Amino acid sequence: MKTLLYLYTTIIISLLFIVANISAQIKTDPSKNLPGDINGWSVIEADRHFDNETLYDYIDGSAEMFLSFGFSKVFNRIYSRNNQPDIIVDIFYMNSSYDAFGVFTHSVGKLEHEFGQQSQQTEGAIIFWKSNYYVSILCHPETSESREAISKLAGIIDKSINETGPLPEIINYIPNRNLVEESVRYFRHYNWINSHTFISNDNIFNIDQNTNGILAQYKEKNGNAIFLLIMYPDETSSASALNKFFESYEEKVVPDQIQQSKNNTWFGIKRVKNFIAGIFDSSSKDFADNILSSAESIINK
Amino acid sequence: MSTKNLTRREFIKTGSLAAAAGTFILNNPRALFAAPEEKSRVVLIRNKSVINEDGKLNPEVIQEMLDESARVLFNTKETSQAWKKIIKPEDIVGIKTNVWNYLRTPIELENAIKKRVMECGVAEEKIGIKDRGVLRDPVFQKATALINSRPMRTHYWSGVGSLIKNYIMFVDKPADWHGDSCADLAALWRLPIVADKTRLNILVMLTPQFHNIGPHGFSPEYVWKYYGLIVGVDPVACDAVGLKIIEAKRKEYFGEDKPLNPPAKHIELADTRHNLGNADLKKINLIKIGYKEGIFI
Repeated sequence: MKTLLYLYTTIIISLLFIVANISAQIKTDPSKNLPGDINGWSVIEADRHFDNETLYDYIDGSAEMFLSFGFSKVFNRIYSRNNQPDIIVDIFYMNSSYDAFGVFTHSVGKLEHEFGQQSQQTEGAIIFWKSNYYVSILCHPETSESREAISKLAGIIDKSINETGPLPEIINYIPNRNLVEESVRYFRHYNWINSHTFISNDNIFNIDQNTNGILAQYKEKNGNAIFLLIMYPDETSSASALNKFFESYEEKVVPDQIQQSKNNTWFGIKRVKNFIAGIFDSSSKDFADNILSSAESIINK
Repeated sequence: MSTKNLTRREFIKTGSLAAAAGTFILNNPRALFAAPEEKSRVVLIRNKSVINEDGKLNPEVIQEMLDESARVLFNTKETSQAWKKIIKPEDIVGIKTNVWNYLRTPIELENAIKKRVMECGVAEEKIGIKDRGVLRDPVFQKATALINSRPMRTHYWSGVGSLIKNYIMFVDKPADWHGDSCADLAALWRLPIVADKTRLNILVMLTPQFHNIGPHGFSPEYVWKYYGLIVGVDPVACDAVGLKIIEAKRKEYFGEDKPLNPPAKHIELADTRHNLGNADLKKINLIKIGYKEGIFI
C-alpha cells in the first residue's frame, strides 16, 4: 500500500512538473507573441530560424560572439511596409541569462533600462536582454514611423517575457565605488580580455567556459583604471592561472604589488581564493590599490 | 639577393619599384626584382565630392579616384599605363568584393575597376565580380589575376574586416579560420587559388565603420564619411593604414583611447608571423592625395 501511494505521488508530482514546465515554456517564448502587423508594417515572408550550424549564414561577423557564450537558436522575422524600410526582429535564445547579459555587454555602447533588464536605443535600433533572451529590432534608415513601430515591438516582446534572469555571480564581487556601470563586460572566452585596454593577444589567464570574467572601467575626479576580475572553479585553477600570467605577461610582474608600467600607468594583480583580480592602466597607484583592496574585501567577506 | 628566392613579401614590397622601372610585373614577377625596396607604397586618396548630398556615391568621382591612385601607385602618366602594368589581355580576372549588406564594396567602384580591366584587353566574360561563392565560380576558379576590394569595418571577432580577411571566402569552411580571433588569416593568401595572383588591393574608406553594435554589428551612428580609398599592392600595408584611421576615429568619437576588442592582430601577424607584407607604418611609404581635413593619419 505504502509503495503504491509513493508511486502515485511520484507520478502526480512528475506530471505537475512537466505541465508546469511546458506552460512556462509557452509563456516565455516571445516569438509566439509577436503580432502579424504593426503600425502598417506586415509580415510578408516566412519567419526564419538559425542554429549553431547556420548562424554564420545569417549574421556575417557576429556569429562567433554568440557562440562564445551559449546559444541555441535565433528567430528572425521581417516586417515590410510600402515606402518604409524593413523592420528586422531577431530573438536570440541564449542558454542562460548570463549568456544573454554577456552578449549584451559586448554589443552596446551605452546602458539604458527602457526595455528588458538592460537596453540600448540608437538610430534605427533597439537592443535589450531579458531572462535568457537577447533581442534586437532594427530598421535602417530610421524614419519617424519606424522609430515608433520598433519601440512598440520592443514593448510587446518585453512584456511577453514574464520572467527576469539572474546576473552572473561574479557581478557580486566587483566594487561599486567609482564603477562606470555601462563599461561592465562579462565573458567566458579569452577573446574578450582586451575589451577596455590591451592586455594580451593570448589566453594568459587560462580562461575557458568554466571561468567567469569581468572587465570594467573605474573613474574618479582625476583618475581612471581598468579592473579585471576572473572567477575560477577552484583555488588550484586560480593559482595555476596566476603563474601563467607571471610567465606570459609582457611586463615583469611582482606579485601582490602595484607597479608602474612602461607607459607610466599603474598595474597590479592579486589572487584571492579562487579569484584573480587585476588593475591595468590606472592613473595612480592609490586608485589602483583602492580598487584592488575593495575587491579583496568583498571576496573575503 | 637571388631572384629565385624572392618571397611573396619581397614581391609585394617591390611592386612599386617594378612599376617605377616601367616593367611588366605579370608573367614572372619574381624575376624582375633584383633589389628589394624597404617600404611598401600605399596611396590614400580622398575626395569630398565622391559622396553626393543625398548620400549616394558619384560614379565619375569614384572612377577619377581609382585612376589617380593607380597612376600614383605605379608612377605612370596615363591611367591605362598603370593598369597595363598589372593586367594583360589574356588574364582571367577575379574582382573579389564584399557584399555585407550594411556596408558593401560599392557597385560604382566594382564598375570602375571592371572598366579599366576591360580596357587592358580582357574580355568581359573573363572578368568575375564576386564575394560569396568564389570557390564555385568558373572565372575565379581559372583566375590568373585578382583584384581585392572591400570596405574596412570593425568586426566582433577579428577586430576589423580587412583586405586580408576578404579572402576567407576562398575556403569551404570560413569558420575554421576564426581561431584565436582570426590570428592566421594571412595564411589564406598562400592557398593555390589565390597565391601570387593579387595585383591590386583597394580598401574602401568612403564611409568606414568604427564601432559595432547589436547582433549584426551595424549602426549608422558608427560609420562616418571619410571619402577615401586606400590603394596598394601590399594588402597588409593597406590594412595597417586603414586600421590606424579607424583607431584614431574611435579616439575622437569616444574621447579616449578605446582599443578594438578583439585587437586586429591578424594584420600585425600577417607581417610578423606570415611575412605577407608590412604592417609597421615606418615601413610604409604613404602617399596622401586630396582632401586633408579629418585625415587622421
